[in-house]
Amino acid sequence: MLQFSMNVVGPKAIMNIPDMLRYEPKFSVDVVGSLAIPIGNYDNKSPINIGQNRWYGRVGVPVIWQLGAWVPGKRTTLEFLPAIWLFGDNTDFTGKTMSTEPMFQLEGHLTRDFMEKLWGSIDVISYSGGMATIDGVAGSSLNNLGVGGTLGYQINPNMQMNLSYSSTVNDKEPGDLNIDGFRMTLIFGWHSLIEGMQRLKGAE
Amino acid sequence: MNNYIKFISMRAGNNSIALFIVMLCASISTMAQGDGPRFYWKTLMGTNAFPVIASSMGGNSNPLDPSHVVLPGSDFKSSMAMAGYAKMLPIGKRSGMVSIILPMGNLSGSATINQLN
Repeated sequence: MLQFSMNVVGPKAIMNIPDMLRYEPKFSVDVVGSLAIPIGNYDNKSPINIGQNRWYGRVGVPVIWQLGAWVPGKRTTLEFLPAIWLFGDNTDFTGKTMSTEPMFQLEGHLTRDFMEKLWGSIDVISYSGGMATIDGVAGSSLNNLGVGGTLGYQINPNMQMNLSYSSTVNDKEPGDLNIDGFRMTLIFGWHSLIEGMQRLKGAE
Repeated sequence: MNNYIKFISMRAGNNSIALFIVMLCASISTMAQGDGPRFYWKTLMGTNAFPVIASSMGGNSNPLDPSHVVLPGSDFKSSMAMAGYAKMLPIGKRSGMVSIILPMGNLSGSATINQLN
């Protein structure tokens, strides 16, 4: 999946260290576009595949709302991501054609630093629409809510680990979306300017 | 230069500077769990990030299909790994980010759809 996002409301791009020190999101709004390309393995005899055998993508408007002072160890944000997903047809879904109507997704997060290196979040995600039709037989639209939580920890200056869990809540009926999952993310990041600064500081 | 570094360290602390780097792509996945919190926080333009994501999911919908087509009576389990790359780039005076994510892994389960098991 390819993704591109751009800030449209909020602080200007962080071009140097002083900009980074001054950074506060306050109220910022981005636009994001994602596109999944139908490449990779696909088994047309199975209804479940990693590849989806169709183009799909989304357009979204991420919003960050800073609550209180922007001090490491005390940062708090309220974040939203409304997005609409659009799907092409899968013309070989177990030999049938599957069409999917647009789906609306809304993500919300209340995040808070617990310490300088540790933060947590309460996560909510809702799905609506996205009715699938398989060879003319219509399914039902989604109207589901998922809740969960995330913990993030900075392991070292270049590495961060996040753990998150989420589960649907209104999933009692057989046709309701029922999905839960656990996710661990490790992110390695670097920037030549920061690396150089760390090197100089180490040599001090 | 040393004074400048001392000034920066005093103002922000070692950890908070580094934190800005690695916040990028905190959870790049756009599948069943959404993008996740703090994904759109900004960092220094030119920052690179490699996220590696491991996930375990289950339910009555293919967790990798963002349309979440419900297949009643089905029970899917998935163990997934995803790797990606992202870079922060300025677009005029605004922040931008390009990223790519590649899923790989194992999906298993049972389902009955139109008499097809």
